[in-house]
Amino acid sequence: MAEHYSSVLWNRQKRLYDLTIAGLAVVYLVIFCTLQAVLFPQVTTETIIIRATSTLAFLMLHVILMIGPLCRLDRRFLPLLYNRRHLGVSMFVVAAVHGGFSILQFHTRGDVDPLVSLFASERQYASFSQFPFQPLGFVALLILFVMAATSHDFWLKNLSPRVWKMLHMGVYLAYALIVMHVALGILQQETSPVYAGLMAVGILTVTGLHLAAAFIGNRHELHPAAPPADGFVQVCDVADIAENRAKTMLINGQNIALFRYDGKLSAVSNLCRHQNGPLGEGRIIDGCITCPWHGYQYLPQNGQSPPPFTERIETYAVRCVGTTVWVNPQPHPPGTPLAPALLNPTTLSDEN
Amino acid sequence: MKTDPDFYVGWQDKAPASFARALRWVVITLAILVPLMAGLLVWAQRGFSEAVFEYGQLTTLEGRLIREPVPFLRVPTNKTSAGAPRFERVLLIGYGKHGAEQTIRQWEDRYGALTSKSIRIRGTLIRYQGHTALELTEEAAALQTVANPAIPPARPVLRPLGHVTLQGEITDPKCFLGVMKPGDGRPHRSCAIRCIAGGIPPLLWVQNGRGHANGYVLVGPNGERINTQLLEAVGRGVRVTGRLEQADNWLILYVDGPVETTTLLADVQAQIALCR
Repeated sequence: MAEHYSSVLWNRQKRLYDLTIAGLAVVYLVIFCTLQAVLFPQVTTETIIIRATSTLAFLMLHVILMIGPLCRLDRRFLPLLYNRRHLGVSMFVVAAVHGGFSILQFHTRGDVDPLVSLFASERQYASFSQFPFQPLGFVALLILFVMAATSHDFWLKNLSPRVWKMLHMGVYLAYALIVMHVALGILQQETSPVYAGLMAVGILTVTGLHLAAAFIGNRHELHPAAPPADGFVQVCDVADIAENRAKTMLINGQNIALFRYDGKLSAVSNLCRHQNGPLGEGRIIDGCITCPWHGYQYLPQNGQSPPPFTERIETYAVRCVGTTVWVNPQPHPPGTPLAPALLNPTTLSDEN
Repeated sequence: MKTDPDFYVGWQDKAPASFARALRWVVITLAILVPLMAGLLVWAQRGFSEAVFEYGQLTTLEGRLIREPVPFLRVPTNKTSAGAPRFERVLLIGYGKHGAEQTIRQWEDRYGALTSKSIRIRGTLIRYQGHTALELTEEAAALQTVANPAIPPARPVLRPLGHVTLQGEITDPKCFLGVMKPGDGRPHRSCAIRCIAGGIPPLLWVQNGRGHANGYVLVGPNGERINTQLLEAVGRGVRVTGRLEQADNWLILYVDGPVETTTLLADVQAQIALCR
């Protein structure tokens, strides 16, 4: 949570995470470069660097894209998500080495400026199969640069979570551009089925995990169909919600998390103000809703982060009639205090 | 904050056991997958040519400068069994992605016309399958000495080989003969375009099904440079028709028909055999 900013707040978990990224990247580069030099001694140093960094960056991007859905499918993967931006910045650095060396190798010392050469050497922009593949990689690298440059919470706060999240969803555009960059570039020359096969496995894994996470998330979510009474919609039974946990629901386009705690029920937006994390998958800790992604906290009765923090989320009115829970899907402005619905003591004793 | 065995956020120093177990499996999987991927991606490559670029090593050559249709240095090598002199041509190429013309013009500004004069030049050798080129790495300083031959040399004999249609890929001889690996194909296309746009003579590389290959320098029907007209076809499969001539160890194709892009395999065995 951000009251002020410091470069990086280190803890044991973060150090382990970064050491693992660095260690695996070094292992990959050492093995790739050594094998390349041993099996293909004719190859040039520039080609070794270009190929080693491109394949490593593409591999890292796949891992990055798999972390999100994996966490939705199994919360035990959540520690991978917490420091994902470190992996993203590392991937950008590796990709930038690839891009830099490629521009140096293919576009410098010619009759035009390297950037003009990048976009103007091949001109078959109207053809799909002959579409220039290098500009695709360059645009993807620019997207990754913007994401890496704005990865710190300082930018999240100043750009607003909505804009920041939208900007960082650009990773999917970058991924699509890189897939095209690879398919129209190196795969036209390296025709071994191993290359095409590995890329197909990568694309299918990323797509499959996202679809599975969306499908399973949709199944866990409530979609109340009962008509509203006095603006309130019947959503579930009290017994459906575990203590200090939430039930998530989508009503009239509102993504709502309904929490049960201390004999009370409160409903807030399911989207964390930090990175749109799924608050409904978090839990109440020390009286606060705690986001499972990065630990941002909110008071359930008013959607406000505890002082001195300033984040606020929308709140929703809740009623409990007998054991039936009703929610009004009309959002109240972020941070609006609303009285929690009190659970009938007999309901609680019935459950016990 | 109390440790909750079923809940964890990253700012906690230690993950609960169930989370730590899952993470250990992720790390183990990646530790197996990463070296495996590195090995597989290297192993599955198609390989690289035996072409050589003697980077960092300058070689001095002496011979006669030939300007047309493309710049060569004609170097005497040895004599035939009948005692006749034998020559080898070395294609001259400028520094970076440039042809040799600009450097030769700098030499001529200083020494006057050099055509047919005996010169000693220094540069970096590039060679592959009997084709040799010399990068004028030091540009204007590459020219060491100029001499007028005592006896005017005989005009080099160009051997006509008839009218042929060839199919192959147009690339630049600088990269293809050794500077880059690979120096052909899709990934290298933009670089080849830059080199040819910069004045390096285009080279048609033709391969047949028997492992034979040969390179043909492409010029217009009257020996004029057609680099600009060929840019769209660089790095792609093309079929080219023209008049073929042998100039010592190089083949020059005077293109007099359209350059068609094609992916169909043609029977090019006869042309390669003829040139050999």
